[in-house]
Amino acid sequence: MRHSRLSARFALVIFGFILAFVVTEVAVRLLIFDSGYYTSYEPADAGRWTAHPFLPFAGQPSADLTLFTAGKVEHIRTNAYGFRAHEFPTTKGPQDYFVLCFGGSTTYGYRTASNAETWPERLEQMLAARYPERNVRVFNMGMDLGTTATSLVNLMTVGVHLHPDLVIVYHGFNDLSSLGYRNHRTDYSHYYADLPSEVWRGLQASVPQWMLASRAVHDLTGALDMWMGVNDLSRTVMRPRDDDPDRMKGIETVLRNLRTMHDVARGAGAEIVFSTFQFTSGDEPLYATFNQTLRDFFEKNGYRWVDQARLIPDYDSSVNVDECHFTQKGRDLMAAGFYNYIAAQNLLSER
Amino acid sequence: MSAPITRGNLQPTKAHGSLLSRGRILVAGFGVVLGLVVAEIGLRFAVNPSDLRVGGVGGARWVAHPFLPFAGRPGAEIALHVKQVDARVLAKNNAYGFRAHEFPEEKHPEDFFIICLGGSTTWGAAAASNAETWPEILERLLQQRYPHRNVKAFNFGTDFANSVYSIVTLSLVGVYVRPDLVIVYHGWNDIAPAKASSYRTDYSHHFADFDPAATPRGLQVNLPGGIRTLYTALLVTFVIDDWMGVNDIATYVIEDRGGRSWSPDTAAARVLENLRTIHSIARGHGAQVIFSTFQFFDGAFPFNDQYRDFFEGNGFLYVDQDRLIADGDPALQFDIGHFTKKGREAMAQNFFDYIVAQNLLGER
Repeated sequence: MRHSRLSARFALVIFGFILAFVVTEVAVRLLIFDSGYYTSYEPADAGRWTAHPFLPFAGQPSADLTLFTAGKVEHIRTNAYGFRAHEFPTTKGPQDYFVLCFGGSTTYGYRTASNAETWPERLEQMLAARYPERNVRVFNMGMDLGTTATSLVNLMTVGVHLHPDLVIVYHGFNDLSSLGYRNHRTDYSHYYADLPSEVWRGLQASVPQWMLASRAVHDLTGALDMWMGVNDLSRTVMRPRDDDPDRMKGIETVLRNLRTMHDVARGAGAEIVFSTFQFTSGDEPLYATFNQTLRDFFEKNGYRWVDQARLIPDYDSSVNVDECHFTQKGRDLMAAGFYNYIAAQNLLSER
Repeated sequence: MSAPITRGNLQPTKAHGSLLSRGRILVAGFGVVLGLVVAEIGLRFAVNPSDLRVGGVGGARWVAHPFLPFAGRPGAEIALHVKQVDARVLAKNNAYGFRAHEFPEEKHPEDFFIICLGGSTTWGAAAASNAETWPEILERLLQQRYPHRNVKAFNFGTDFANSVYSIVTLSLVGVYVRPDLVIVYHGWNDIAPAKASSYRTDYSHHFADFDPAATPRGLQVNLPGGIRTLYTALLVTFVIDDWMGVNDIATYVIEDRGGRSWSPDTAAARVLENLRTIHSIARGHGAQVIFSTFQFFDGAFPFNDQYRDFFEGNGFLYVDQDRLIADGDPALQFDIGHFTKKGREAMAQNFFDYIVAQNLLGER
């Protein structure tokens, strides 16, 4: 008698659980239209990033990824070296004109639907139209969380081997966030840590694949992963801040890295064009100071540079989606800013 | 008829056996303790404790680094035993993990700073102290010759470092020392990556990141603090860790993927691009650069001819150590590439002679 009462209760609990699950599943399917929103897409080792001996992390070589960022589809294809770029050529002909673009996620193409819509490839399209007799190839060497240190290493260990004609450098936001550490080191070991070879990929990647057929399981695990920050590369490869009263402490390291990039590019026979950095709220004192420091540095050393911070309007939501990343209009403005400079300076005809 | 078994009959036998075994154990225990005490006292009189400390990869010698596959542990003092020559090595690292003087924060007009890039031959395999590495021998030679200058030679050599490793250390650390002169001595450690069929310009086919968490740390480093003060415990764990190869960083960071598909010209050209980059960095920061051929014990380094052509074709300064140092002389080298003290002195002397002949200090 007592045994059957227990069984009945147990059956009731199971039934309640199944009912709750079915109701949740139906609700999720009815209410959350964007099936990709809660896709846990960016765990550090889940296909997008990989460990690298000379970088804190690198793009996964030859990856073909479809991401869903804030409801938008983003298609990323990386080449054999893990860059969101064309495959690197092994030879160079007389008509070839190779451009390398270094930067962070603004160059990589945060929330950019395809490689072709990143500003480096928009620039390529503009230059190819203007100089049809040349084979213009623009290679996007930007990477999320990239700084002058990652770009310097990429230029030295990969870029120069491509025999570039022109190097474009667009850095600011990430370098600024690397400044002002009490324990600042010139090798950025105060700021970055290595991406571990094995990273927990989060709940969504841990449950059996068949369970993800349920939208409830899929979205719940994805939401929990996002809440826990499992998807956040920066939590994995960046060290905690140790604030120095001087928020610009270490700025000479940024300038020294830019100088070294200049020396390496020129030593390899390439021109190099630098830039100020477009912050949405460009009049913030810290941002304004940073950009003015760059302007003074470029001028003092006689370097080529484009003042993107002045060319692109501030506080314009049709240009920036956040403090630094661009809309398509913003990326087109970036490409146009560099294109106009290259054409005005006659850099292609000179070679 | 046997006597009845009584408690009284059994007791003496049991007591006798028990006494014997306890006594034996006591004697044995006393003997072990006495032996240990004697060994401890003997060791304390006979050896330096630093000779017994293991500089294991996971223990004291190496750390992970975001821009390098591995780096020297900052501020470490490392005692090593080099088996081939039965040499005791004591290396003192600076705050950046190099076996070098601390880097100066300032530079004065009389300062002349030299950075020496290289692998273990520059680091000083079998060099008993930092002072016996060739960069610091060179420093003394130059200081004697130019007493009015403050000559400092900073040893950037690192075990298994090659041209890509040195590009990164020069650009992210070296240029901040504001060197007047950069000396580059690379060879052996570039051969394997340059001739690999899986070659990548960033050498990611060759190196992997050092992961301290996944690396065995050896016995000695796991000894409780109190026991680690005992010389005998240090000796035993030193021998076992040494036998297990705990010091061998190569096991953990060097990957050898696939075969070898190469010609000497192709492989050498891959390295020469890196040397050109080193030249660009150094010259861009106002330093002179001296390159070198690589001295092999059997004279068979495959890239030396290409190196010479490259240096001369580009008008780069270089010292032909390969021709200046005799091959096949065990008084100079104790294996295929590493130097004895006499060999390190010859290296330093050759660079010194060149610097003086080129008047590189007088020029500045």
